[in-house]
Amino acid sequence: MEWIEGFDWLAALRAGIILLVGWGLAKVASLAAGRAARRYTAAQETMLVQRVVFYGVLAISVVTALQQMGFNLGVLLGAAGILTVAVGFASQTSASNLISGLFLIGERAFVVGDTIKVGNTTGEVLSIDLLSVKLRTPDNLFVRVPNETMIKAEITNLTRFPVRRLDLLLGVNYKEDMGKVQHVLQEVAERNPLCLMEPAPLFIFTGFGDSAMNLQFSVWAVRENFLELRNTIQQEIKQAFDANGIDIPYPQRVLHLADPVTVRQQT
Amino acid sequence: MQRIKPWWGDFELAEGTAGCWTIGPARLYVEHRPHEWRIGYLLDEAAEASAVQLGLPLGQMPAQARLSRYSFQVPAAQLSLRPLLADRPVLSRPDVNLFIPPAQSIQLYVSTPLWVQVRAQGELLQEQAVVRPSDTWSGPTTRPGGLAYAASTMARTSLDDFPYSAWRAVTPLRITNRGTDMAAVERLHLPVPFLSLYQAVDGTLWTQAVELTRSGDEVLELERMGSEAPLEAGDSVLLSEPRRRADRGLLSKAFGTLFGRGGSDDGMD
Repeated sequence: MEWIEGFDWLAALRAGIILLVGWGLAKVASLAAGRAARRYTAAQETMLVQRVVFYGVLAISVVTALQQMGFNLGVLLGAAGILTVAVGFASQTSASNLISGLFLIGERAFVVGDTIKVGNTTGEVLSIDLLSVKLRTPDNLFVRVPNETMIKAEITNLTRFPVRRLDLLLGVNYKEDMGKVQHVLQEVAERNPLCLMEPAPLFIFTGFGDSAMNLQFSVWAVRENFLELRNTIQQEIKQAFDANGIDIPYPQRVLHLADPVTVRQQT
Repeated sequence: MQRIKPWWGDFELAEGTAGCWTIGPARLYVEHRPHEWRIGYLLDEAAEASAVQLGLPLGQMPAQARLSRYSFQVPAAQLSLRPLLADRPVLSRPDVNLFIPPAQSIQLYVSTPLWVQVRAQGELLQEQAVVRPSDTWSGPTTRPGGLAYAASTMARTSLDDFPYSAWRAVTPLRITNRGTDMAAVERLHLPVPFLSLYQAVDGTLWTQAVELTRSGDEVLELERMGSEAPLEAGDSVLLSEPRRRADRGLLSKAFGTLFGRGGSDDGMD
């Protein structure tokens, strides 16, 4: 009862109001900072600015509220220092992720909205946070990749450049005329409107394989049309090869026997 | 003499009737059903002629036509078809290598494909290429530059026997070689989104004249772009304004890209 009687209800009310107003101010300030930063920074940097402003304003209001309640902040900060060392040892991974996150944001290897490949995961970047990067895979799964992993891994940004090259590896029968094959492939590329005329399609006779003459035919497409081109051009190549009698052979072996073999038919 | 029969203009298509517009190799079917417009698009074999048939009965749309439906609460019969220039620059390659000796100024005529815009009751329903040209990339490498459409041109030097078409617009192009060596015109990159479209008395379609100059280096620079219909078009009417407008500096940059320097196709770096 004594404790309740000694409690300064007015100070507590003031602290409560300060916290409430501080929270509102933090929200407004972070929104305003985000709006201002959006003009000059990428999406993830805007997000970072918003968070720093929000938690900064909130921390100031918490400190002010504690002062109103009569707490000695010097003692509190001393305790916080000791706590920081303890927490620091305990949260090495989180700290590492945090530092990696700052480097990731600074490096700008990718931005929110890009499609990237990390290890075996390909997905659209949903957010770049201080501890992790969130991805949405093409089959609509949510993947969280820790920033420490991101900073160590090889990242492929699939959407950085506006055009992409599609490499088609083909094999044709040894009886075929390679000049004719090249001509047919060029015609297919010219007819497909999604296939860029420039950079020009690339034809490389890569070598003599076990069952076929191997070649590489590389065509360019606008990033957004890449999948559609991949489907359409392969269908069109098959149709054009069929129409021109060009054979894509199955694996085959030619056997030469050391001694002639007599084959006798038994009835 | 009427060379091209206009397929564009304002039309009245009463409810319960259909129309068919033949635009070169493409056929556009429009059906006016109760509270609904149906637009079907079909690509036939290569042809250059144009024709308009109105008041056809419903239900004649071929099954293979690409169909879209647009529904309106209040029925009205107004339909408008308008030709537009391409929405990206067009990169035309002369089908035979073309060289211009030093101190020569030559006149070329290059045609570029058109888009068709369909409006009903004042609303834009659809806009598409009469024949979708191939995509291509303009710029020295795959990083700087921009997207364009590819076309092949005979780059004719005179209008005698010029193959006028219902779905292509002609751009008169003057190229001056002020350099000291032979200029090879490997590709002509026309920033058509910055040009207007005009209809001549004979129905042919034109854009403003464009002048290009090659100084000492290898790059063709934009010298001047006409502000009105070319002289070759005679008395003409404006059919469509440019899709985009840019100041001269930006246009010059755009042309720079088009002829192999850096920059982006829309004139913005």
